[in-house]
Amino acid sequence: MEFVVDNFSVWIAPEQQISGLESLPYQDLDLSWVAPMQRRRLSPFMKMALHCMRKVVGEQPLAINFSSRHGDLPKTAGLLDAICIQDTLSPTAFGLSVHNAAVGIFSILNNNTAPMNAIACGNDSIISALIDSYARLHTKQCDQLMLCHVDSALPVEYQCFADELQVDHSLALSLRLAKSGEGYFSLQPINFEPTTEPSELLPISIQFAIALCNKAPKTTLFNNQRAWMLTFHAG
Amino acid sequence: MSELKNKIKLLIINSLDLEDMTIADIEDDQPLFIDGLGLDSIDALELGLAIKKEFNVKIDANSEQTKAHFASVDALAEFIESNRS
Repeated sequence: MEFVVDNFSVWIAPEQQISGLESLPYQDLDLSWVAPMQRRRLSPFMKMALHCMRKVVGEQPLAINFSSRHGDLPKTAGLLDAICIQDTLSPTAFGLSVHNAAVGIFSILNNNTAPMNAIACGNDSIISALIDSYARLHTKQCDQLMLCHVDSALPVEYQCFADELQVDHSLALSLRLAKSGEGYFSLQPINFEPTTEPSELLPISIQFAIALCNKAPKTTLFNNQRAWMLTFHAG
Repeated sequence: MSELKNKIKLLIINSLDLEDMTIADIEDDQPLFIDGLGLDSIDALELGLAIKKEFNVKIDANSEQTKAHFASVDALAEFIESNRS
């Protein structure tokens, strides 16, 4: 699977004391392009998603593949808590809790009528989004598309299930197929037995962001089940 | 009544996340929806829920009257005053 990354944006929650994140640039969330009456409804999850998507897509319509392992879980957990105590659900929170809410809001704010997918596929979610993106490019459904991946740290009551480090993060990149002679990335599944403890394992999406930032020639992306080799081929 | 109106304004600001707005920014007779404060149909649902919780008032979503009760802070105050238990 080979692809070119034209634009790239990443946002990581500040003040993380986690080794490996120092190579990622920090930037303030910029939502100045969203009208205040619309901005007020956005959750932290939605804000980081919109920030990165806007940085990459600008004002041009572009097909989008959105992925997230858990979606806006802080919001979903709040809704589940309300159900448990038989409280009435907030219509706003309910309406914006579906998995494709972030791309839906983005499409409305940007008049982006291009096709959009929303993917949740466990701790491989961004890899599945890359495979789906490549399939859409390869079958010429589009010449270019944006991939956006977002995840929030698990709410406290779910942290006992964590199998990797919990970091609020978002990234977006525009993807296309390589033209003859230009530099590109390739991604291939490999056999690999990770020895990293879950408490030290960065989500693959963040490993991928670090590799893109560093343009590392070869990076092994791995979680506790699978691994891939990301290779940068200079043009 | 003016205490109730201030309570309603505060409820509108807090339940609808109206950033940077204070109760002084909302006029008693200002329309709440569309051209006035600029609220929309989702806000109407959210506000209805908040009012129901705060004042223990039953709101009939299918009633034509409900639209009139939500027209302004004045109208809401009158409705709450005459319906709360």
